[in-house]
Amino acid sequence: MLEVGADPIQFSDVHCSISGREILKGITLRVMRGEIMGILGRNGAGKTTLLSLISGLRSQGSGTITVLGASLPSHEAEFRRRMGFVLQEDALYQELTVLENLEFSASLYEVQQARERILEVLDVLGLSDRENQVVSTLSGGLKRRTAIARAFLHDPDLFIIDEPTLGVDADARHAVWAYLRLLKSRKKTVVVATNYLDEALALCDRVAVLETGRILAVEEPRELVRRTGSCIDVECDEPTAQKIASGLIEVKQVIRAEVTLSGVSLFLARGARPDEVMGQFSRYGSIEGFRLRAPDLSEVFKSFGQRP
Amino acid sequence: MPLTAATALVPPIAMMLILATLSLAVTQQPVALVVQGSGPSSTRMAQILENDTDAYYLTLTNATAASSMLASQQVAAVITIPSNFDSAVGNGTGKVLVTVNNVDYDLADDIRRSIDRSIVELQAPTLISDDLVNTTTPNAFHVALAEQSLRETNVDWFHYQLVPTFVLLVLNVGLVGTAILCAMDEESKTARMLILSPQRASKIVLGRILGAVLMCFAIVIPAIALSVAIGFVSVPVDQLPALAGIFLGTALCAAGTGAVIGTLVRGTRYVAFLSSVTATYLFFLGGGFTVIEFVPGWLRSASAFVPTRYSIDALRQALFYPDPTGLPLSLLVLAIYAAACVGVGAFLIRRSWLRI
Amino acid sequence: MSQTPRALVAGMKAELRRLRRSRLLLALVLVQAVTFILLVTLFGLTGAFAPTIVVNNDHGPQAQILINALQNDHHSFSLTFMDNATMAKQLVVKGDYVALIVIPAGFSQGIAAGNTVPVSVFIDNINTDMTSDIERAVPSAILSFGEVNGFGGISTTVAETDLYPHDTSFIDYMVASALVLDTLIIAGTLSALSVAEEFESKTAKMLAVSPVHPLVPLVGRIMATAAVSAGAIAATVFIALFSYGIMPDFPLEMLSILVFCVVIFSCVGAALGAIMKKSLPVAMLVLGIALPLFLFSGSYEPQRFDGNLIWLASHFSPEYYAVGLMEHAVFNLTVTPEPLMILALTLVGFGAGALALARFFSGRGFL
Repeated sequence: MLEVGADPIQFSDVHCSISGREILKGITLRVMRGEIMGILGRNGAGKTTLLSLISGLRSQGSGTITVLGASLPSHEAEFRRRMGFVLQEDALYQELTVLENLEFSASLYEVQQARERILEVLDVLGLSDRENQVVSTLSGGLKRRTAIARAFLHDPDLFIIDEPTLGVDADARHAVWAYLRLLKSRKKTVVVATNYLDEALALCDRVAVLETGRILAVEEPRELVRRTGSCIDVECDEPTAQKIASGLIEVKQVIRAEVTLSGVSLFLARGARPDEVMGQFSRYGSIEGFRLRAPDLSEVFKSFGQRP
Repeated sequence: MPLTAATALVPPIAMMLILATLSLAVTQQPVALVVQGSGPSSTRMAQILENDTDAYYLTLTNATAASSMLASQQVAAVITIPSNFDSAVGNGTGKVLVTVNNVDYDLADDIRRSIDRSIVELQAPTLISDDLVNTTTPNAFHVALAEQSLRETNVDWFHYQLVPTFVLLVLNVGLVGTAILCAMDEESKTARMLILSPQRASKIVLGRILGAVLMCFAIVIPAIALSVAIGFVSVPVDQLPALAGIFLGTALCAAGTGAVIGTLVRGTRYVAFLSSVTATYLFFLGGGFTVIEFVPGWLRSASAFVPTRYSIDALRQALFYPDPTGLPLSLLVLAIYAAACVGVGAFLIRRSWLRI
Repeated sequence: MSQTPRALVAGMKAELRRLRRSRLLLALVLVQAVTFILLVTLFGLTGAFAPTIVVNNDHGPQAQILINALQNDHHSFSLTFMDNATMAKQLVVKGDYVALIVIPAGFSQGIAAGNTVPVSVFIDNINTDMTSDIERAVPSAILSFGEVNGFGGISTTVAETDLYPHDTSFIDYMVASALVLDTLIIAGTLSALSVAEEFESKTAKMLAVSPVHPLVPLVGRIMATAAVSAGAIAATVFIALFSYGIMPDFPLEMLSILVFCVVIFSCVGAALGAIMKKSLPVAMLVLGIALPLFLFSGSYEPQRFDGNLIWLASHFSPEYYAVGLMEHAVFNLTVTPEPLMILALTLVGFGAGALALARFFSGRGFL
């Protein structure tokens, strides 16, 4: 049983291989109670495998994993009852209605007063008017919400979601984010796997950056962005781009310059003043335009010295 | 898709293997022969029975062993030539004793007919002789047979039944495959990409159908080659163009029919089932599983409207009969069906793409 | 209600709801099953009653005796009478009939005078098996003709003893065994689809992380497909028995065996679904192997008549045991050397083995 104050999830030097290939290498991670922890990584980084270990779908090769006070692997019913899991795929019964899918799940999790609970959850997720709609006729966003509703039905302490907003529209995206923040407000622990940096920024208290099975860093998302630095995209011809890149890289405020197809991208250090950097462009030639933006995931990884 | 395609090949391959195995047994019945008499009539009777290897798979044994074999179903009947056979034949009361496992009348009647024939041969050998044509040589039964066959060639049961399995192969690959692909075009919306391309839609549609035809040939040619190599079938070289025409026509019919099903029915699963059912009906209505002459008249008439009837008939004509006079007509009818199936199928494919 | 039965019932309910919305699929499975009964009927047709034309140019008493002998000759002929031999021959050439027998004018007179009179037989020798049936049937009819007339030169006849008091129609026999085939198709396909879709749609992963053992709701789903299959089989049985006028000797035994087969074949289907984990290929596989396995399972005669090797191989097919039980229930026939209890127990073994396979392969699919 989880002690008061204990971390819901603890990984200690965990290795996991699948079909002879090592997917996770020496993962050490703590997820604190009541936080939203993001697992940020590109495709193939090992996010889904890590979530599978937490859920008990897979067993680790070595190392220790403790989830909600239980050492994994554990198949105890009580342990599973305290977890809610949303897969990358919706994993819904397509020929059943929203209501029927939830009723089935309520039976498996022995949800008390199931009918009332289902209606409550549908209401929270804005699915009340869809309860009798067959899942196969729902949009991607509504299917995602149904999958989340199913995971929340039994009021778990730990909520694991793999790619919560993959393939959904903007409205659905924000609805899902709002719901996850609601979970946090109810002191639930949430682990979210994502490859969208903006999602990590919007949702997570901390993110663990995962790359080729290793954790590169565990920090607040803003810190991640600051480490990478904001970015100025400059549109110009190639000779000008080369001049800007070689010239401005000497400037202390610029930590990295990258020539692109449309010009050059300059990554600024923490605390840099973009207007000072932009003022120097004219020294190197004429430019067609520029844009200031936050870094993307690829650039985050580059900041760790990894190949893109 | 590869797994689905592989499982579509299971029925014809399984059917071929089953036919090969069954051909060892279907024409002969296992019978035990107990010879208790020792005179010339007994010996002659036993000889007639033993020589009839087309009818019997005979085991010569004693009464106790025969009884045991009958009980354990190692034999379907026990034929006994009793010890008093010769004397009984002498006074006109000879009896061959037969105990038959008459579990169904097909196998029981096969045995009964064969034994009757053997008894007739004992008493009237000229009645059974193959050399007799329109003769009045006296015999004990006062009836002579002037027998004539329609066809010059005799085809054994295995080869007769094997030929339609190549058609079944084409049906499963062409019909079921095309149907599923058309259904998937609609489900995955890939048809949109095709219709937006600068190529004319009719070109793409025909390409889809011809692709199915090529796939059919890619499967059928090795199947026939393997069958020839094993000795299951022999292909007259001068009939190769006819065979190519038959399989081309059949493949076009199959692909066209598959296109119709795949575009009219929504849902890959339903399409797969419906196309499988359709292939089954086309196969058996075409005479793939039976001798068409034996089916009721209305069913025979219905089969005249089924393209596979002409495929199977044409194949048998090309492979078995040196004078295939019916072959051009079968090919012509098949060609007309193929054109119609392709035309309708192509039209429906294009229409379904435009609907997406 | 404790958790396991609750999850079982939840699985059943979910599957029943799903099947209720897949009526077209159910209908197609049923159509395919009934189609196989038609197929085996056609197969059975070629074993007897060869469509034959008789042109009787004599019309005398001996011609009638010969015709009676042909008609009663071991179910060999289905006779049609015509007057014009030339037209009749054209019908044989066209493929509407397989043989033509012409009784010449003066036949009765010639027989009465003690002569030997030729009867012409024209056969469409479409394959040697069918031709041989006719070529044996005609002398067989002639033997009977001679016995009825009591010709002095006939010294030998047959004394036959049968194991069963009456012959069973070949088509009826095959229809009874085809009901086993239908059970495999319906129960096997529905349960295979149910299990395969669980993995295909990834809902199996959700079962794997739930508090109940993931196999419990899966078993519930299989129970639902078995229940629906039993209903579909009942409809098929009714159609088949009513259409063919078959009255089972032991109707309760027959129903019990069919229910038993539904359970066993549902397990077999579940195993296939768990192994392949793809709904479309597994459904095509069940449909594809059902008929060949059926032909290999004593479906048209006791399998041992085809030789010990084939007979031993047929023991790997669950249809072999099921057909043995069915033929006993419907016609009181013994079509296998093994006693009924052994057949039933072996089927149970098949079911248990299939469930074990389903469990093993399901376990690997929950990841």
